Amino acid sequence: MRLSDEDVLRAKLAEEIGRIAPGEPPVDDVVRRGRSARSRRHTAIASGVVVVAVGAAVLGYQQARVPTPAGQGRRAVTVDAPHRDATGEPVWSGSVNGKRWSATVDPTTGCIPSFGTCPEGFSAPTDEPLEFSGSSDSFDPDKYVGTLRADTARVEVVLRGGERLSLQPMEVGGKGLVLFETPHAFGMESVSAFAADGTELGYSIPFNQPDSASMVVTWYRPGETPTQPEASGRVASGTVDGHAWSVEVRIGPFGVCFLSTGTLAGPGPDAACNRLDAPPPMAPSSTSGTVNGTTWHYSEVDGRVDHLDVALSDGTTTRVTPTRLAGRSFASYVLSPNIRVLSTTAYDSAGRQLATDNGDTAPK
Amino acid sequence: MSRAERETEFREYMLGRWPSLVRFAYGLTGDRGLAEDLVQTALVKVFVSWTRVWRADDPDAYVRRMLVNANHGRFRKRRVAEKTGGALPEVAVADLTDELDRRSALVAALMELPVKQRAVVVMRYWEGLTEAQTAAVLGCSVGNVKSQASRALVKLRGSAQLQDWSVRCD
Repeated sequence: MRLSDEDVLRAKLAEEIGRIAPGEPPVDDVVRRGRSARSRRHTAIASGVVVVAVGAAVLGYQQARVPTPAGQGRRAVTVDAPHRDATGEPVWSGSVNGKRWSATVDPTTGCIPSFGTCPEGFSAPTDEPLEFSGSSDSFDPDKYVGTLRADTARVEVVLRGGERLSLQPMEVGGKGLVLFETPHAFGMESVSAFAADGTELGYSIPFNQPDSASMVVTWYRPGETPTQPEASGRVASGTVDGHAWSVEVRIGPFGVCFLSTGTLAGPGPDAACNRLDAPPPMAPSSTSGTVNGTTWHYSEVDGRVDHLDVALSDGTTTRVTPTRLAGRSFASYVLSPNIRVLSTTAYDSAGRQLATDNGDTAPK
Repeated sequence: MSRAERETEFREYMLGRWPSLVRFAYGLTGDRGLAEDLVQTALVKVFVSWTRVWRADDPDAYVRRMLVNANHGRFRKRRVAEKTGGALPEVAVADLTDELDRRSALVAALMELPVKQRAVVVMRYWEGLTEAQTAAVLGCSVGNVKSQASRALVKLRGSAQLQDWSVRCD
């Protein structure tokens, strides 16, 4: 038998690259440099405000502010049209409750430190008109970054209460980006994307998670009416090392979202959402989040799954029975620190094996 | 989640993934020191973006993309420098003979590939990523990954560095 070129290549790479012994990971150095990059955000914000002020005075720079709705006082959120500064770097700016913010790209790293994002790490979406991500700290405004599909030219966000933001993109690394801030956990009613000729490309109803930034997950075609009724419920709970935990699922036009709570020194991982039409896996094994070393696993599973047997690194196997909610099945569990999933096997009600997955935590 | 908790998460991630990421970067660069530098630089960016990275379905995909882009950027910058022309000052250059001798024929052949083909080879045949996963990291189509892999295999097969490419077993 002749081994294929691909087999030979795999074997040789495993031999050659596998024998490389990396040095100790310079964790402290990386964290120090990362903190330093973050701290530069304050400088960027300060200089950004100056640029905006000069631009407004000298260049007649116009802010893309939406007229204040009648009967409403000073608006909580404004977003300016982005522009480029004298060095050609893009500048996004706006205000939250009268307090100005500004964001620029750090030319040394290519990141936007004040928004905690490095655009080069993300490609423009090809299916949805806009990929949205928000970050949230309890005492700061929430920060949102939208990466636009190539044909998306404008984004409109309706905040909770009806305030409307019109967002123009600025291109960075070949991708159109929109950036804005809102008051913490302000909430959104909708996000819509438009083509250059004004045609609506689609819209989304965000998930307004408690005490955090909104999440944009499921998109609808223009004129399409969401049919998914809202439902919510606790799908799993238990204790790990004496600490209580629970996972709640919320389903609605926004998608399928998981919320986790517990007494493991605070709340569980941030909420996570899936699209309504995302096909649920048979035997999920990847980690959903970690808190103080505990690993949280929660996922929708295929409706045919009766139970999951999860083989763990401490030599035990734990059985997880999915919980039904609004016609969907959900499996959740939390593991103690230093215990990881080796494999997950799904069975149907007759005990037949449906699928097995070694997951992303299995050793290479 | 507090900033301290996110930092703890990042530290755990970096400790756990460092060896694998350095090996991946070694496949891209053929140089261990450079690989560690690339990974370190990428992880600084990951730290800045940690909230978003962790929410992504696959944090490793984000980091791999960073590494591929950083390696590509390294070549772009070098090309720009080469075009500047003019007399370059003479500088002392370390004797790399030993390092090159230590480098295997396979890694040497890999380094002869264009950057993108090399990235495809390392992701497909070392990391074991699917064509779709590789395409997602590179931001290109599955068809493009297939053609890049095919071209890379042809080049590797014909490389003078690889004399024992045809392996048989009975």
